[in-house]
Order: sequence, then structure tokens, then C-alpha cells
Amino acid sequence: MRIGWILGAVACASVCLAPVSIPASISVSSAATNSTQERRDVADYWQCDNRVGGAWLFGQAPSACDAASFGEDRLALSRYSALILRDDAASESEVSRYIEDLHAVLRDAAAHYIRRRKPRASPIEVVVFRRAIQTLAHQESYWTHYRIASDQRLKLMRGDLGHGHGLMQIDDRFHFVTIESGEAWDLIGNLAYALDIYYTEWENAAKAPCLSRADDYEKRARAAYSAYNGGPMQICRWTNANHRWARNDQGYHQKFLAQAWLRRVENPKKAASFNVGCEMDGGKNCSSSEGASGQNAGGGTHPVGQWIRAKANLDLRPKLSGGKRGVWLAGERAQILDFEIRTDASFTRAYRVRTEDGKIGWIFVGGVVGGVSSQDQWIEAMDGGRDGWIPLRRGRILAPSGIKIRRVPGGQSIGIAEFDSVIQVRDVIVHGETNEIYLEIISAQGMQGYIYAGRTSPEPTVARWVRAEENE
Amino acid sequence: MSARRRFQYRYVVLVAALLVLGAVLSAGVLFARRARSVPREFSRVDQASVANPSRTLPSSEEVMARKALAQVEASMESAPTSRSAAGEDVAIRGKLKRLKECWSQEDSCEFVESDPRSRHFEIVAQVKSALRSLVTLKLANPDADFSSDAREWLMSPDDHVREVALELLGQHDRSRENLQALVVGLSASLSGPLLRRALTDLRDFQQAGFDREVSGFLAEFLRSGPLKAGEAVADGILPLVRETNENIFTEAARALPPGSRSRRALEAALDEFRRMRAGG
Repeated sequence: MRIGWILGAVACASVCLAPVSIPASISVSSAATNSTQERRDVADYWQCDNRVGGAWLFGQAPSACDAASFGEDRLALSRYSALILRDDAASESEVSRYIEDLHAVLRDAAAHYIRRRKPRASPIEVVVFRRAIQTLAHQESYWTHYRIASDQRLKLMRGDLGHGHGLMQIDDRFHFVTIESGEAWDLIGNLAYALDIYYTEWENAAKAPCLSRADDYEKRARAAYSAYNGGPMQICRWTNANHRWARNDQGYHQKFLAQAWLRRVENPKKAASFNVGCEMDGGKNCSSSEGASGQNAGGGTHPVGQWIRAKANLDLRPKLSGGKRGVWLAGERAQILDFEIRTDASFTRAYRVRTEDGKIGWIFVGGVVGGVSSQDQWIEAMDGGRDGWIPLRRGRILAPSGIKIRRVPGGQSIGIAEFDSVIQVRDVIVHGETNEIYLEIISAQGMQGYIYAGRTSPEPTVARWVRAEENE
Repeated sequence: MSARRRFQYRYVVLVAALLVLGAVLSAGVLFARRARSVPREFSRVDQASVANPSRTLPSSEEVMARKALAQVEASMESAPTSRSAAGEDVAIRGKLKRLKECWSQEDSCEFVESDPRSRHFEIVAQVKSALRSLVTLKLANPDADFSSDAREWLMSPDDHVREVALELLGQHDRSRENLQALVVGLSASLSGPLLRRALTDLRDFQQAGFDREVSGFLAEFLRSGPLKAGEAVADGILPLVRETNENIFTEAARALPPGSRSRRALEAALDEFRRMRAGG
């Protein structure tokens, strides 16, 4: 018996101790750090604070998370006040009002978009495209983008385990850069980006094998949706009733046919609360509502080139439209590159700044209440800082051929500030919508006049012309 | 030989036989592990569970994933497993070919489909990985030519794939053929960041003598391309503006809606270019 056990142990030892075939190491999709298009293995409900549920009703679809993760609440509240439903005031009449206002935006956005991309689009194509977009918003989010939830916080709709962002459910696993830049947080940005995607498939659908005629617009809508939902290669998915995701295509088609929103829209021709086409094109002063003039802004606006210091930690956003937060720390200094003041009653101010460590972004410093600006509680003006772009006292010429010195800005040339020469700066003049910079200078040869020193918007070019050397 | 000795002898023989058996079994297991050199990229089960630990995948999906892996392994039996460059690129191209088939013929491969987009995401991830392998191979073998692969995948309907294809194309000559593929691929792109990145490559082609083609493409893209990507192009156009295309871009700006961001950015770039030409 004992021998049998020994034999068994020996036999086992020779086999049991042999290396076992174990699964190869798990390889998760790696992220190349320099990619602009990296698909990320984004966790469910990434950057989703204070999540709330909802109901599958217009304007209240679940789930929703704090909108502040990707943009400034006050900007959304100021710009889109008519398009934000309050959970605690969601009466039938209020929901109908919300639907009617959003209907106007979707109507105008779709029509503007297709006419811009295809000026010769027929009226029929425009009408069906519009309906297709309204249906898309219904299918994706039940027309839900912003909400004020019961915790009184502004929320952004986050479906599909938090991966879908906003009205058109822009997916953060695939459009990570767009999400991070705030494009999907902004209602019009979200809609415009989705229109780019959907329109591409709308055009592809015209040539798809499952369409016999390009002007069969209802089928084009269905095909475009299949591709929007499942990827470009799924453009004919809607023809397969047994497809795993056929229910999505069926849901879209049912909504397309029913147009359930129309039951809540009393006036389908009601004007939108702002110029939708202008906003989609990134225009300025698109609001159709009257606002007080800048002279009534009160408190003063710091000019381009001014150095300021943060009096508290401030969110630094990559774009005016939002984006994932960075931080400008209290005590740090920055130079102003641009500013924007909302012309509505809030006079909300935003400054585009470049910090001393080279970060560039937008900060929001509140508005004006009772003629008093609240910006002073957030920032204060400084005499100067290190390594600014716009020289305030002293600079060096970087333009390879030098820069012409002019009698007045843009006027007659009277000399040249040579490349690599040092100039004394007496004044900074900012001109025009793109913040053209003119410096009043005394050149290295003692000549007085004005030089052009680049602009700060939309892309800063000052560094092609001059460099600040304040501390030398 | 005594009975006792016979017993001892048989005992030793038995133990020896068991040891040999154990050794043979161990060797067999080791051999099986080494033969399984195919990366388990098609097995999405493990990836999903790591990426989304809260999800529990049903066993039927695990079966489907293993089936897909078995299909790939079977089809790659005849593919060279040599680690030389010549063998590697054949293996990579074989994989890309099969991924293309998976992409266009849904029934040819099976993936775990936890949502409508997951199949697309997974194929894209694997295509990108394979293309990056070609990028690495090209770095190690500068004379290797993967331009046809880059051209092919620039035409894919996905910006994530196009980006890696662009990187691969950037390792090759600035030829007309390569430019044509680049232009066709970018024409279908929706990605502002990708277009911004591609402007550097387009500038290289411009400097290689293809200014007319590059300028024509950009002007048309600005005029009638996607809104967001068009804004990105307008923002970054300044380094590509020159005397020979100033008029083309001026016309493109006029065709854009007045006050639109793209038009403002394009006009600012043109103005900046004129000032640079005029010395400020």
C-alpha cells in the first residue's frame, strides 16, 4: 500500500509539476501617447460626477452627470437657457415649451448644414434630412442634452454606460479628442460634430448597394443611421431584420415615421432663440436677443497683453466652448491673449491666457451684477511677468527680414527694426477681431514709430515677429 | 534472481517508466505552448474584462471569441513564422488582409459584440496595431516599401486607421501616387486633429513640387468639407500659404459664410502672410 502511494506520488510529481499551459499575457489595446486619434479604453462613466438617472421621455433621458467636467456651467446657462429643462419644474407645459424650442434649433441646424455642404440640395432632400436629424436626436437621447437635476446642478446627458455624450451621444471611446476639447459638451458643437458624421453617411448611402435610387431619402436616412450607430461598414445593416442590432434600426425607423415630437410642438415655425446657423459656423454675436453694450459692462476689461495673477485656483479650458479642465493655480501669472464678454445681461467674461509655464486656455471670471464686475475676486492686474509673448517694455525682433517701422500703425514706412535687435516698447495697441498687435517702439537705432507684432487670434503669431525680454 | 530482487527490479523499471512518461508529457505541454505563438488579439474576452471589470461576459461569448481565434490560427498555419523582416511583413499583411475581410464581410469573423460599435472598435484597434508594426518594421528596415499598404489604409472609412496610415506614408517618398491617396483619404476625414497633423505632410508634398494639388485639395476642403475639420484646417493653414496659392485661398475664403470661424481664420492667415511678405 505504502509503495502504491509512493508510486502515485512519483507519477504525480513527474506530471503535476510540469509547466502548465497558461493563457498568454493579456494585451489591452495600448495607447500611443502622441496619437491625435487614439481610441481609449475609457472606463464606463469616465469623468462622471454626481450621476443621476432619468426617464425615457423627451428632455429627461438617463443618465446624466455634472456638465462642469467638460465646460463652464455659466456659459451653458447663459447661452442655452431656453434649452435646459429643470427636473423640478418639468410640468407638461414646460416640457412642451422645451421641445418646441429644441425643435426650432434642430430644424435650423439640419437645414443650415445640408445647404452649406450641398448648396444645390433639393427642397425635398432638405426636408427629409431635417427629419432624419430630428429622429437621430430622438433615437440617441430623447432630445436630451443639458438638464438641471434635483441636486440643482447642471447635468450633461451621458448614455451607454456614460460613453455617449449629449444630444447626439458622441462616444468617448472613439471621439476622445473631441470630448476632451469640449466640443461634445457644447450643444451646438455636439450637434455640428454629429452632423459631420451623419452627413458623411448620408452621402455614402446614396451609393450603397442596398439603395436602388439616391433620391429614396427615407432609405438614405435609415442607411445613414445604421452607419452612424454601428460604424461605416454597417450602412446596409437596416436591411437585415435578423441582425443582432436590428432593434436599433427598427427603433430609428419607427421614430422617423411617428415624429412623436410634433405632438408637443404647437408652432413648428417658431424662431429659434438664437441664430443657429451663425453659431454652427462659429460666428460671433449670434444671439438674437438684445444685450447691453460693452460700455455698461462695468469694472473694466483687462486688455490683451495685460499680465494678471490668479487670486484663486481657476479652471483653464482649452476652448471657449469648454473642454477638460486644467488648472491655473492661485498666485500664478499669465498674459492675456484674448477676451470675450457675453452681450447678454450676465456680461460673463472669459479671458484667453498664456501662463508663465506656457499653458494656454480660457478662464471664466464671472459677470457683472449691479454694475459691479465680479472678476476682481478672481484675478488682479500685474505689472508684468516672465517669458510673455507680447513685450510690454522691451523686446527682441524675430522676423528674419526685420519689421518695418511705420509712422502710424499700418501707415507709411519710415525704417526697419532689424532682425535680432532689441526694441524699447512704449505702448501696445490691439486692433480688430483677431487682436492684431502693434507696438509703439524706440528701435535700437533710436527711431520712434510703430511695428506690427503679430496677432493672438485665432492662432497666436506673435512669436514669429517679436519676443518679450522684460527682465534683461 | 530471487523473488525479492525481481520485485525490486520491476519497481525500479516501473518508476523509471513513470518518470519517462512524466518527462514526455511535460515536453508535450511545453511544445504546445511554444507552437501557440499567435497573439490572442482576436480574443476579446480578456480585453473586455480588463477594460470593463464590471462587465461579466456570458460563456457563449467566450466561446465565440475562441472560435474566432481558432479560425485565425487555422488560417495562419501556412503563414511564415520566421522572425526575419521578410517573414514579418508577410505575416502582418496577411493579418491585415483578414481584418479587411472581417470588416467588409460580417459573417467571416466573429467578435464579441457588447454594443453596436464594439465590433468596429475592435477591428480598428487591430488594424492600427498591425499598421504600427509596419511603421516599426520600416524604421528598422529603411529600404522596405510599405507605401502600398499606407495608401490602401488611407482609404479606410475610419480616421483612427487613417492616422496610422498617415504615419506610415510619412516614412516614404513624396510621390504623386502617395499624394493622391493622401488627398482621397483626407477628403473623407471628419477629424480636425488629423487634418491639422496632415498639414505638415501636405506642406512636405507642397515643397516637393505639388503645390497646385495640395492647394486645390485644401481650398475645396475648406469650401465644402466637414465644418469642424474645416475650422481646424483654416486655423493651421498659414505655413502653406504662398504667393502661388494666395489667390486660391482668397477665393476659398470668399466662398465661406461671412463671419464664420473658418472664413475669419482663413482671412487672418492670408492677412498675416501678406504682412510677412511686406515686412510687417
